[in-house]
Amino acid sequence: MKNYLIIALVALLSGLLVEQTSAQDSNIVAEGARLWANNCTRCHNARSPLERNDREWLTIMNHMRARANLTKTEAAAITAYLQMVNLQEGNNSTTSESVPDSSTGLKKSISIKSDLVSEQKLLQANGRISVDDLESLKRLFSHMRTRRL
Amino acid sequence: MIKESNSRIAAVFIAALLGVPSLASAQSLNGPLSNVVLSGYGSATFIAVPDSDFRNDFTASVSPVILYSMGDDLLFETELEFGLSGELTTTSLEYAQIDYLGFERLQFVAGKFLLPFGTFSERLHPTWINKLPTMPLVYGHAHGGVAEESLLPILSDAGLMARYKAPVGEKWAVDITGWISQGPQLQEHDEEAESEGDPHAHKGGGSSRQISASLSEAEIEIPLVGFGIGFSDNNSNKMLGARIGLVHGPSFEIYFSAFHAMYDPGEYLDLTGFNISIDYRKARFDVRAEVTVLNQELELEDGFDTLSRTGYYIQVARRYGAFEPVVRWSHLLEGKVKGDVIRAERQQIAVGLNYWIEPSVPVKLAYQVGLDGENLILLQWAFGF
Ligand code: HEC
Repeated sequence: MKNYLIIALVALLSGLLVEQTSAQDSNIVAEGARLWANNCTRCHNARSPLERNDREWLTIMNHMRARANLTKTEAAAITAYLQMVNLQEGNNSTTSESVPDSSTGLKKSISIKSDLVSEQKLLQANGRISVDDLESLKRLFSHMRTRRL
Repeated sequence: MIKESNSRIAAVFIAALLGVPSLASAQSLNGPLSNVVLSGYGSATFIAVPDSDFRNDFTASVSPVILYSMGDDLLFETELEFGLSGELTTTSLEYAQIDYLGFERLQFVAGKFLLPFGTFSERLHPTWINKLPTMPLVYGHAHGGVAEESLLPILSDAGLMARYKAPVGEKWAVDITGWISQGPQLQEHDEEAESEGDPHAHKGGGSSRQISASLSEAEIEIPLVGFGIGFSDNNSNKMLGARIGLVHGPSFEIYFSAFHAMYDPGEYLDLTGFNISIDYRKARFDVRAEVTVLNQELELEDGFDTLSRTGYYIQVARRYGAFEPVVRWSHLLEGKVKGDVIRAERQQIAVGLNYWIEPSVPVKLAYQVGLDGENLILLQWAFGF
């Protein structure tokens, strides 16, 4: 019984957190998803966003930034995407305090999120992204839609 | 060959390996170790020579990576490598570097790092990324796999590096990296590395990363040149190198790299390298190819000459669900000095079938045909963690 209460509370809290993120953040997350698909499959198969918690991704993204010569803005957007998947899938051991806000300078809007899903579907079919990670992406975007982000 | 200090380092390290994660999870996420991430990779490999007495062996390796971020813009990263092969234990410092990431497009790196010469050394050699249990003939430093006599080791050296990327439109980017490092040094010849009759005879493990793994059969003695051997240089001349590339989204990358250094204490013998690397990924196909030319100037009794050697490989893999057949062709052309063949031509075909348990955990089965030597059967389980 106690467990259910805790689960309900966590669900409520994470719902609130997602609600609080601005439309700008949602664009960053979408841009991050695109950059993740384009960059994180270049040298190796894409590692699952759920492999690591939010803080670990901050450090690992710096590592991969140095390997792949990513720009600071790109790395921030990819981190935002990875952390958003963690939040959505309840894989968070931390809050999404580090999801970058509009000040990261990523202003461009990616409006057609369904394109992204189909792009990643293709990468999944080609063996570069796992089925589970594609499912998390779909859930993330449908969630963002229902919240009108 | 087993150095006592090595096993001691290994013991301390394994203790640290076990200790760090439990400490980290015992801390709150904002605790002092919250910015430490432990990752890395490892492998276990079974190797057999399918000849009359079917010699076979197991090898294993683990390469822990420790990442420590200091604020948003500074990252310390290090990788150690522990290899095991028969009675041989090897330990080496793959890289230990500090990255400054405060700029939008530019990064600075100081310390010992993997040289951005071509792509295999810097990006593709970790066992969970490399699609075959062996390295292409061009490269010779084993990571739980087998290294053959080759052109270059996995290059790692101490110095400074600047990295830059300029996005061009949505999908293209220009990628430029330049470095200055202590450079290669003349090395004492290692008799033990020459032992024969063991499938890992040419395993270039540990700290000896030589570009000329064996002496020639001819009269001329080619000096051995090694990279990243110690933190003291044998001359004041530094190695200068750069790589420039064009990257198109997830599907196409091309890089040109070059380096130059003087390798002798007297600073008049040149060592130059050139490389072209191409990656192409389309649908389920993954194609990688590299060409490397290495020129080593030599001082002979009757003047100077240059030993020039070219090597290349092309690798094609295709995914079928979790399975991935892969084939790689490597070729090292002969090297001549004063008209004599000093280094023989070598060719190799490796055919493999991988099964991906996880995106970073493949099981690789391979058959490697050495067109001028031994054939090998390999089974490797690799994991990136
Ligand atoms: C330029 C090639 C390259 C690109 C592009 C790349 N990686 Fe990596 N990645 C590597 C290499 C090489 C390693 C192994 C590092 C090591 O062991 O030293 C690695 C390791 C990792 C690891 C294991 C943890 C670690 O830090 O060692 C994760 C997770 C990872 N990559 C995620 C990503 C993500 C996310 C992206 C997209 C931003 C990405 N990679 C893009 C080359 C690349």
